[in-house]
Amino acid sequence: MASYDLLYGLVAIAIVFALSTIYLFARGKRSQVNALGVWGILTFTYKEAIRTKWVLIFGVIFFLLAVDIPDLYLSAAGNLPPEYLKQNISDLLSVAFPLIPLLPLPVGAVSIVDERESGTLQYLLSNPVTKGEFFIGRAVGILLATTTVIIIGFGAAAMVSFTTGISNYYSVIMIMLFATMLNAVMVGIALIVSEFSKRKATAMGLGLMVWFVLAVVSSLDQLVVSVNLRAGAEAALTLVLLDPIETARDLTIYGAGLGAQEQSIASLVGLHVWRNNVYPFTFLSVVVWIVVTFAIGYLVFRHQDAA
Amino acid sequence: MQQLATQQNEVPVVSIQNVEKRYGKFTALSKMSLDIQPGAHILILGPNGAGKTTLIKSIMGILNFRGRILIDGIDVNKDPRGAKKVIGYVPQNYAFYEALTIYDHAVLTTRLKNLGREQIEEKLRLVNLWDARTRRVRACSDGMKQRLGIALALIGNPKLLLLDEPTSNVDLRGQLEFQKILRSLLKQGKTMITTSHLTGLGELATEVIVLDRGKIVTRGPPDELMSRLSVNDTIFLRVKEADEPGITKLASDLGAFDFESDGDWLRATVPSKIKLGVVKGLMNGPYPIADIIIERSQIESEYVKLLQSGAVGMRDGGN
Repeated sequence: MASYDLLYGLVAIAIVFALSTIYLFARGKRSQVNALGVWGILTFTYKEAIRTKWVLIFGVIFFLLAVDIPDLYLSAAGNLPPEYLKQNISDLLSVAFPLIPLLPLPVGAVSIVDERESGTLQYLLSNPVTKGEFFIGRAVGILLATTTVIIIGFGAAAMVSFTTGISNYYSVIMIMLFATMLNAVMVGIALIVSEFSKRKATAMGLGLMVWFVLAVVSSLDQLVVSVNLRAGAEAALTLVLLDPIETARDLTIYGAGLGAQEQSIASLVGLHVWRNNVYPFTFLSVVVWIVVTFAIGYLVFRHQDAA
Repeated sequence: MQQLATQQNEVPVVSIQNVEKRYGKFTALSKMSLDIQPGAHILILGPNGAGKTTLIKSIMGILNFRGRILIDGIDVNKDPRGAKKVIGYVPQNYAFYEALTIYDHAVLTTRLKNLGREQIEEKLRLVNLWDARTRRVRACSDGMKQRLGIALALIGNPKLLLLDEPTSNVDLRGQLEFQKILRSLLKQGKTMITTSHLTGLGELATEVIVLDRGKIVTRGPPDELMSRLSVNDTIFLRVKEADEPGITKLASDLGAFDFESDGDWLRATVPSKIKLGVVKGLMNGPYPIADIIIERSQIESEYVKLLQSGAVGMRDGGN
């Protein structure tokens, strides 16, 4: 039972954050949510974000990372090795997952502070939309824009690379799903960074610093071995779960059905502690990350002066 | 008595009750209370840091504050959306999205206000922007941005207009156009709160409120406040250097004072009430005048000057 304590703790945190956010969002409402206002902010945010050069560049990068050009040569020659897909996905996880946060972190980190700095936040909030409605529209707009890029980047690559069999698409769809979940966590973190930053340049720097710390820390394998030996597997798993990139990568390893050869040390620790439940529990852990980061983002924004 | 009873029974459009706003140790608004009746045009004056913009932002619910603000009977903190339906806001620095067109902004605003697009044409035509609706904001002049701000604020026909330094970056032509629009809005019975240093706006106000360090230090009708001031204008005369002594003597006899010359222009101060007489006397005089510029005094700046000199006390403070 002890192995589930960590999970119960995570779920409890998520429930507390989710309920308090829902309570605060609903408190004092005398009329229905201004759905058209939220839609206006959402669509505007989406269009603005999708036009950003940074976002377009990442679409191309994800495509190039996912398409695996050498495999294309082999495919054209009809010489693809039998395990090429697993190997391809494993490579993709190592290379692409640490890069995914580089898309939402800068885009999200400047989003609120830029509006505040330029005064447009004042203009938006002078209209009959609440801070909560603005936050939802802004967060979902960024989430959809960055998710579009991930799906188009990976999806286009999948269409090019994996045309040898439709069954291969399951793994690709799973990768896109988990990449989207990691993207959501990063949007949540980026919005918190944006709320606490006084200037756009600071926010951009902080966003990149968050990526650097997580990307460096995400090379957890040696650290996990050390913590596992000294403090046990649960402590090692806690360490893994504190890093959303590693957690999302492990989730993809479990979810995409990769074999033992593709497992990382961090993913093996999860497997050891949660055994048969490792897949749903890791999935839940990423969901907890999403709920907690968005809840913190909302609660902070609600209590801040908007201008 | 009847008028007083009517005022007491009427729900104020804005009711500010013990509002306090602090930024760390700095008190931007100090236990402020104020009621604004329908149809009033309140001009808020005060030096930088007096709390003018903080007050406007608090009324809109953009800032968190202690105390209570009711807009048309709706508590800003409890029902911010409901309160903001009553408000149209014209921002200080025309903060719009540079890449969007004028029409895009109008569409975005109608969505934010949960309305259809029917009013867009009417409001853009009102401020002469309909023909320029496809122009991106980055290509608009400050005057156009200012008019766009008014058009967007008017979408939804709000009862209350908040204008935060609406003409701070606008040229004289823009200011005059703005005054014209304000006059027509006042005729429609809109309640307005303006913070401004706009020439002539003091004359459009029904009441002037002077803030200093987050407190109301005085308030009253503009005429009454004007009578407490000796408001002076400045005239600039382009004359021949040889004629300056004679013109100075003539102008002085007509009531001008405080002369200064840079060899090209002669500057003099004249009381606002007699300036036309002084100009007429100079034009009819024996000295040729190549050009005249009148720099009009502003009730706002005069009052702020007086405030800073410490001459105004807590005479009519609304706290």
